[in-house]
Amino acid sequence: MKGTVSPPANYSSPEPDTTMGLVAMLDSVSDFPGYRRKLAHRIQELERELAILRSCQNAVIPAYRLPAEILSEIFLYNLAMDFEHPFDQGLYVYKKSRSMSWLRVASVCRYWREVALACPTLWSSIVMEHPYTTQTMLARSKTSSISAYYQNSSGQSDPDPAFEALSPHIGRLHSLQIFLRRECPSIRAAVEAWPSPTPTLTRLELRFSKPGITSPLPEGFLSRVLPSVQRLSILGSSYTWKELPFGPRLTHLHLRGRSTGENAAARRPTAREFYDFLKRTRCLQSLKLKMFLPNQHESGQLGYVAPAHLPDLHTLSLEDHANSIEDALQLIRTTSRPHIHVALASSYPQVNEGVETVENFARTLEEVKAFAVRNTSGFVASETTIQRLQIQARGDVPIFNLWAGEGSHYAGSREPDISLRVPCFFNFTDCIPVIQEQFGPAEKIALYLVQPRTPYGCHPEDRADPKGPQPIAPAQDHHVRRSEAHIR
Amino acid sequence: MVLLLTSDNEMFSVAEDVIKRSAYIKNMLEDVGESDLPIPLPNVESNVLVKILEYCEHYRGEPLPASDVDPAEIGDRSLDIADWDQKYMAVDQEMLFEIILAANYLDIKSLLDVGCKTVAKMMKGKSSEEIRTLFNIANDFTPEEEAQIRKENAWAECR
Repeated sequence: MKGTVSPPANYSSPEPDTTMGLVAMLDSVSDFPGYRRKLAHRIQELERELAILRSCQNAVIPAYRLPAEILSEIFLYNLAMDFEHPFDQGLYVYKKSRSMSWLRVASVCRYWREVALACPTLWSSIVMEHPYTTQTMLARSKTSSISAYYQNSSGQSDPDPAFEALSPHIGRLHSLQIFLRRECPSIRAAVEAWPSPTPTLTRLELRFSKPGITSPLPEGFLSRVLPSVQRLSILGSSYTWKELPFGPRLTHLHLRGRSTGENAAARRPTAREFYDFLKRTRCLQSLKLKMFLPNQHESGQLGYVAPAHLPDLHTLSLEDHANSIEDALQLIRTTSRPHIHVALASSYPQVNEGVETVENFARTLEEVKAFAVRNTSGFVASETTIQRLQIQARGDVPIFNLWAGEGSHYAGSREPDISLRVPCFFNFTDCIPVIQEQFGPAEKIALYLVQPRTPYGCHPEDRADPKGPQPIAPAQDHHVRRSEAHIR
Repeated sequence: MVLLLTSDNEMFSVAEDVIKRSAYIKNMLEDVGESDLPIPLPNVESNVLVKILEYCEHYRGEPLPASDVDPAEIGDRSLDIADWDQKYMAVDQEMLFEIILAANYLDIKSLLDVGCKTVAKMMKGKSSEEIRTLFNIANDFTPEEEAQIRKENAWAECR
């Protein structure tokens, strides 16, 4: 029981409650519980003092020179990095749940915590998976606009309490994102109980990872909120075009349907509905439609109409049957310089039709030269089968790089301005004169093929040259690096 | 030319179109008009100003970036850092923070953004402890505070 701790030689008359006073008492202590209480109290005092000293230590490090407003800004960038492209990952990419790592900044030290707690925006991206977290974030977000994110995964608690907790804050709900991997009927009841309307909601994203999942939103919800929504993304749902009353303020529309299954054809708009939509939503900046264009050959029913002018369009991505895409392109004009991505539905299997398709597209794109092009570069990563042909246009006079690779995504950070994705079975070499013919003499055409070596990447030597694709002489004498096994 | 006087009394003569990337200097020049007197920069040391001028010189002639980001739209923040900017920011931590502070003082929004993004990227994916180690920050929470934070983060941290 008695320790061997002794005070330093020059230490005299210690106060009884100081550290050395407690050490001096050790030999004569009889009230052990009282002594232990005193020790615990002293330890607590010392821990507080240590914390204060550590705060002083922190005060003189470079990172602490940043004022609160800059530190908040860094924290918000940290948050933005966590929320980078939340819905842009592949439909079947499994991510267990939303990361909340940006909240760690509040656990680093006192000063950072103080700054984090005083920054309501940092707490306004609410991950609705745990009622306690939802409540805490709602309280800390104070009166700022909130974005709510829900993604269901196995083993999590029922979402009702989190959605119910949101109810009193609907007046500041700015964005709602729901990603369902399985049915979640309880959300519907909670959302039904929300006060109506939700005037601040300007962004709505729904994503369903497999067919047949019922929308978690109650009937009438969309017709209530969509007129004010500016960004709408519905991926993989059974909603039909008619059920989506787009408002005139819409700036971003991303709809992804399914090529088969119940309702596949009825989901699409008629040519008239699509045209009216284009005429009405003049603020549109980004239009991405997959299997959501009017049915093929419907435009004939529309007769001749002046194309709709979308002055702010910066992204146009259409994935559908070739004729539907061509018809849609004929209806759109813009004075901006958008990124265009066109992908043919994979149910377009004929070799000859593949060449013809490129020819048709080339003609269509030539006609809609309003889609001006700009200088960018990009290169292709590799997967297992050739899936992609991209035509990259540079400068006001088109200069084409024709890309073909096994990849479904780019290794580079920037996408080309015009890309065409087609099934793998057509003759690439035929495309070059076709494109040249349609667009005039291209200054550079490069056909770049990469050899698959690994499931997710090509052999390092076959990766795109860091200087970009090497130009090759156009037409007859073009030289092609190719993986013969993948070209027919 | 514009004369700038740093906190360590170094005088710099800088082309007006270079330093006008600083909204602070630009406004001052517009308010005061032409003058032979140096503009004092009591918060900027010469070695930091050299770096700042390197940035301004690199972007000389380029239009000032418009700031049209809605603060509520966290996802709209551009997170890209240009290659040149990344190399420019490859400095020791002390200089990195000095650049950020100087960009803030001189009101060079684009540089401040690059600095903030650089620091945020350094922190990305790191635990609280790793962030402490990265920036040499001491854990100054008391045990009680730490217990409270642990409780708060129990759900978020295990993700």
